[in-house]
Amino acid sequence: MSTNLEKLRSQYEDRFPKLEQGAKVLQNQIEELFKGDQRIDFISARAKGIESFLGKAGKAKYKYPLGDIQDQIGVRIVVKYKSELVHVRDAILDEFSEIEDVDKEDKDHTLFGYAGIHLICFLPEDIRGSTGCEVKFFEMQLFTIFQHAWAEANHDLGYKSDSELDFETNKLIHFTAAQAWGADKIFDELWIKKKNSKEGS
Amino acid sequence: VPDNWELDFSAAYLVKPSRIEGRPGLTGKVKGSKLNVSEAVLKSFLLSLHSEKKKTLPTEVIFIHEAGKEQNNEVRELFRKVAFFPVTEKRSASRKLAKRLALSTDGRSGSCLFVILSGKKEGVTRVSCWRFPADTPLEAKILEGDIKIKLLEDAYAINSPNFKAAIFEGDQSRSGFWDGRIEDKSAYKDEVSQYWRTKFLDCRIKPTESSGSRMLISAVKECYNSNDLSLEQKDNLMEAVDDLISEEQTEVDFDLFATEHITDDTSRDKFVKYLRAKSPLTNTLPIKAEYLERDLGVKTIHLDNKIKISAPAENFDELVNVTEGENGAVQITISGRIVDTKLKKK
Repeated sequence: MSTNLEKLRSQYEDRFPKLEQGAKVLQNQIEELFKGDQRIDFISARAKGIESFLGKAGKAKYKYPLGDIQDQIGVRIVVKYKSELVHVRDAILDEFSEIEDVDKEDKDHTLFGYAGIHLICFLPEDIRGSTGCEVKFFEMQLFTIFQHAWAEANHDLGYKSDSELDFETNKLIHFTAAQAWGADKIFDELWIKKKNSKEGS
Repeated sequence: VPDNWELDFSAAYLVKPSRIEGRPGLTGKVKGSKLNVSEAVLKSFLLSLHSEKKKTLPTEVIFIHEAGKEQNNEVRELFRKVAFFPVTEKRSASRKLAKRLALSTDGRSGSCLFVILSGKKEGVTRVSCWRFPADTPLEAKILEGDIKIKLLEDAYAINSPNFKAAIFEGDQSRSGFWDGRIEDKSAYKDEVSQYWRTKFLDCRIKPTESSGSRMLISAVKECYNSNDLSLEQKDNLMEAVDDLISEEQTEVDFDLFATEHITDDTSRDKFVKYLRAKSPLTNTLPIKAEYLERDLGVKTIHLDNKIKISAPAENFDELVNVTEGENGAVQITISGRIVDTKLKKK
């Protein structure tokens, strides 16, 4: 192992318990924000694992990994229906200041794959102060249930696959993404129909 | 003299307002250059401003990112160039910032001197900039293309300089130089001077109105629910919050709020301590009437004849019965016993 990587490992290992503590406090804060909100399926927060951090740090684009990698604390909020994603995002942006707000769904109508909303927000100063977390930002991913399921299933098979995927495997993975997109679309339409009929009655 | 900041770049420009409706582009050339601050008095004056504790600049700001795109802000890039790039690029970026200031300023603001410094201390790089108006303690002249600045011997102007300032700092990583602090020491802090934060720096205030309102109300509730306050003191506290709502205040200095509205020493200290832990870098919280009401759990209706009715949100509809009449007028019935009546001074 190179000296630089050893040094980085030791720095991140020192930081890790504080990140875990920060993630826990942040999760409580966000759960409090959405207390009793029926749109939310679940909220979870985590500190990025040490091996996962070092793996990412090895990429050329991260010249200063401790500052460049902004998902050292990551939060995931999963909502039941797709049209609620934007409302949940707005509620988050009411509360946290952000420097990035990107809808990851492919803009090319012929493509299906990873989808969801990614935000990079400032970690609140009170959390930094009380936990000693040295990171400035955390990443928030907003998914529907189907987007979450696809991203989880694809994580090791596709996204972080050890070898290059053949044509058919790729095709199958994108086919499942299209199905997840379709399931979201249908459930959202049914949800809106139910909401409208309730309001009308 | 603060000497622990190692100054590595300074530049100054004479800036004429150039924001004229329907006329894009600069009206005149931005004159100025890299600055040689060899004169001890001037160096001491600028370095003491550069070295000010961040907290003395009251407003926390962040650069506004481009919507829907990965993290990017043009002004932040210019500040990062001044901080980390070779001197030719530092010079070019500082001139671009001076031009941007000219294009952000309209005739109401007058000509000014724009000064920018970059310095390092303990692994942190800080870039500070100021806009000094005509009655500045600094006198600037262009001699053979280079700018020369002299500190005027006007003790009042030196001790109470009238300027706008901004400080950004960080390291070279993606996470650096996103937030900073600004100050406006000019006489008029109205919308005319908003250009410093919005048009020139392309920044917005860092804490959100929702989080500021939430922090304030949770501190008020803690204070209200403690046994330290008398009934009258509790009333005064709630009236102060009510005033913030009805006057539609957009920010509150919680230190000042506590001094003015919490007379009990223990409660005041607890209130300030609570909020200082939540917001360690600033006493000023952005707030919004709508969010204050939400967090207070109060619903209010305002009528066009200045009558206002507030009640706990959870049973507002049970307590306040509204019947629609003709031409949009309403009749309101409230049931209950009067337990107190107060005449509030205007």
